Amino acid sequence: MLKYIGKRLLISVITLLVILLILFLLLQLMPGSPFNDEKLSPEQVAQLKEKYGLDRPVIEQFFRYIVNMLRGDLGVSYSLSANTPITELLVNRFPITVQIGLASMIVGTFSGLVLGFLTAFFRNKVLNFIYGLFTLLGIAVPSYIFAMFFSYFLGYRVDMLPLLYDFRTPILSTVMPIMAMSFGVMSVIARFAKAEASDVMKSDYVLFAKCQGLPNGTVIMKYVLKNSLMPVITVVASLLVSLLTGSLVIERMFSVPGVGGLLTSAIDSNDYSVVIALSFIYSALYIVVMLLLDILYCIIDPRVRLGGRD
Amino acid sequence: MDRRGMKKTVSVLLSLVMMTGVLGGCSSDSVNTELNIALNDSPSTVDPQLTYEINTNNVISFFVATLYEYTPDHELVPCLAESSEVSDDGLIYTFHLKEGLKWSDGRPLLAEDFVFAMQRLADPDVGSNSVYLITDSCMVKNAREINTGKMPVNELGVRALDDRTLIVELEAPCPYFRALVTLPNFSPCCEDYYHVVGEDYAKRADTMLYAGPYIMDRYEPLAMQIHLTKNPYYLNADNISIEGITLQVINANQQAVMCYESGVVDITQITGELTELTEGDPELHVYPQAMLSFIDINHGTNPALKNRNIRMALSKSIDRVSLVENLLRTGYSSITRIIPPGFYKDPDGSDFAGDRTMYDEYAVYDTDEAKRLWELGLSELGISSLTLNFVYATTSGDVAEAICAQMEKALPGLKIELKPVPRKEHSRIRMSGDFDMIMVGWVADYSDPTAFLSCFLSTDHTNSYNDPDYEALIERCQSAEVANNNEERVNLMHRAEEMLMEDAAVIPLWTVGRSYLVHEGVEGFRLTPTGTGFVVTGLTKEVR
Repeated sequence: MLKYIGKRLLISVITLLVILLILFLLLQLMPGSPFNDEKLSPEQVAQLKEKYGLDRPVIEQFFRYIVNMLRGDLGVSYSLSANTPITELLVNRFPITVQIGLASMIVGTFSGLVLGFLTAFFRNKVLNFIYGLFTLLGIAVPSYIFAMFFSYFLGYRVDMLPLLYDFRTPILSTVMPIMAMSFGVMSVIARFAKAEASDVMKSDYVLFAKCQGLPNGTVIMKYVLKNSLMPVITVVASLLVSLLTGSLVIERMFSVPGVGGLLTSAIDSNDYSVVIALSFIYSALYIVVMLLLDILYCIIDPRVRLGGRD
Repeated sequence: MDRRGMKKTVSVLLSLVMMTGVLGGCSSDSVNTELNIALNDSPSTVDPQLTYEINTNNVISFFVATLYEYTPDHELVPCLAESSEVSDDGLIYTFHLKEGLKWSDGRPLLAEDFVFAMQRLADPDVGSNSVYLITDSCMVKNAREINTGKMPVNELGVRALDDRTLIVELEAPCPYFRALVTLPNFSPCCEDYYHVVGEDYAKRADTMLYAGPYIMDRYEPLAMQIHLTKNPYYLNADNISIEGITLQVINANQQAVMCYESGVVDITQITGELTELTEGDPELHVYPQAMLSFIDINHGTNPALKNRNIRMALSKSIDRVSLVENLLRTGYSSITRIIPPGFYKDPDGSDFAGDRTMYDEYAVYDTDEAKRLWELGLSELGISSLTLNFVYATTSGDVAEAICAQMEKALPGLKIELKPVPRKEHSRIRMSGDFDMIMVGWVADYSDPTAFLSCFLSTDHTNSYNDPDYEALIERCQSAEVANNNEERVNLMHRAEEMLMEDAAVIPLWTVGRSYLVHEGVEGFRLTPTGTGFVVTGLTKEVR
């Protein structure tokens, strides 16, 4: 097991370095520079590039970046927030994005599981209708439409929830962003949960358990739920990464000071160091979550571990 | 309880309810001088020497004070300066500071603080994107050499004669220097304090000193919400009636309007389609900007564009009024001259560009005349058709395509290749000269017609127009003998504008104002046309 984890960690580090190098090379191809103001003369632009080391060969920039990164220095923003250390930008913003992302994940997963399992266990028309409606809406309608809908009715018309994120009411003002973001999660999870639970309920071992005279509740709790959850974990993990990296549209709509809008703004203004830092963190996050997922699989299902050994 | 007792109880309860209402009313009548303003983007910095965009200047204008400032009527008046004089050769400005100026922590604000601020602006280690203000817009002595690392910052031609006297030496006369120093980049910076906070300077609300009407008590880089409170040490603190201001960044247009409608914010800027929806609303205010949209012609490469008749035909084939009325709408107005109206006054107090039709004969929409000039131009060139490329930022797609369609329709034999480019690629293309025509938006940094006219000098790195007579005229405008004779200078600037229009050197399109929704109870909300920010003095909010 430890050898397996060690091997995966090594691969992860190499992958991250390759990603970083590709990012550096790709950024050289981006049009323009962080200093796009026409009022600056070419000499002044050159001066600014020299100040930030952007006039150096790309390989030199790459290695310098890695050395600095190992010291915990991700560089400074060139244009988005002039001269501000990127770590400072992220330290304030990541917690809010993570808080909203995690809350959306929990709300969406829990409601999705409840909806999916209930529909699978109690096959009645009303539940099926609700399931069909919610899963269809959740998948077909983008989260920003929900955000606009909630904003208009709950924020503007009824005046029940704040229209914008407010640091003085951090819980209340994140309710609408969480609702908007969790809708999609709920529908995906509900579909998986229903499909898996239906399959498991038709399986031989569940039939056998029922034949043994075990009560329905025990069969569901002990066999169906446990075995239906395995594939759901994979979906949850991949959704979690996308939620933790923030939603550009939702954060912009509710003026949430998260990292969601930071990457696009950085790309738009050629703020290379912010683009690199965020892309690197997103990649690292994805790799770490996937690694944890694999380890979790090994623990839950010994067949995966054996398969790995073979 | 009998009926009478019941009645009594009900009347007591009703009285209590009414009293509560009255008291509630009283509480809502209590002083509420907190103003909420929506911004559509976070400031990229709050360091006054680093700012380079209008949105950032708008935020900074609340807490900086400069030597001179603009009144709500756009009059240039001394602010931290009491008076100033300029030497006969126009090269040395002496500013006398007002007595008793203080920073927000109570320490005295001295002439030395302006010296340090200007040194920071020129310093290559600080890396200000607005360095051109001190090296090009006004050429402060040695600023260029300092910025290119050839001289130390203490060689900058700015010095404090004493605590209240500041002397600025220029390399060339700059008749608009007093207007230029209204920009926050020229606001003071306390050296002692700067060295104490070090790299944290202007990174948080408590790592800055303030000399302006407000101080920040909540800020973080790329903040979505900034809070300001009145600065008791501000020299005009008595004229500041609003105690606190919340600046709320709202990126989504429709969210900003909902916040405005529901009273979450008192003032919001509106752009895009929502500007059209609010047309006719008495709370909609459009503030003119010193901004010109124009088509820059490449005079260097394509021989056809060296022909005046061809250039003028292109200009006269554009129906600007129709574009403004049908596509651009609120806030925009068509223009057939270079200098936008409402940002500079002639010596007699009239608007420099008050006569909007002055140069109509060279640019106004006239398809017959355009066709005549076009055919004349083509015959002079010995060709029957012409293909030109037209570069524009993708964000201006609709209107750029409409302009080209109008040109092609009016001018037989003209074919235009559309070249949409990303916004950030646009400036590189313009500087490289890889275009025939390019759509440009230009905002003046300071209130002087030369802010536009100097764009067409051969020394400007974005320009390809080169007319020695025009160059000589602008040089005379900036010379010492004319600098102190405003009447002659204004006449020369009028002549320079006329020369550009006569020669169809550029194709002006439209100007644009900034549209804001301002609640009825808020008075005195103004923006300077040059983008130095909000005019804070005189801003009031009706107490409810």
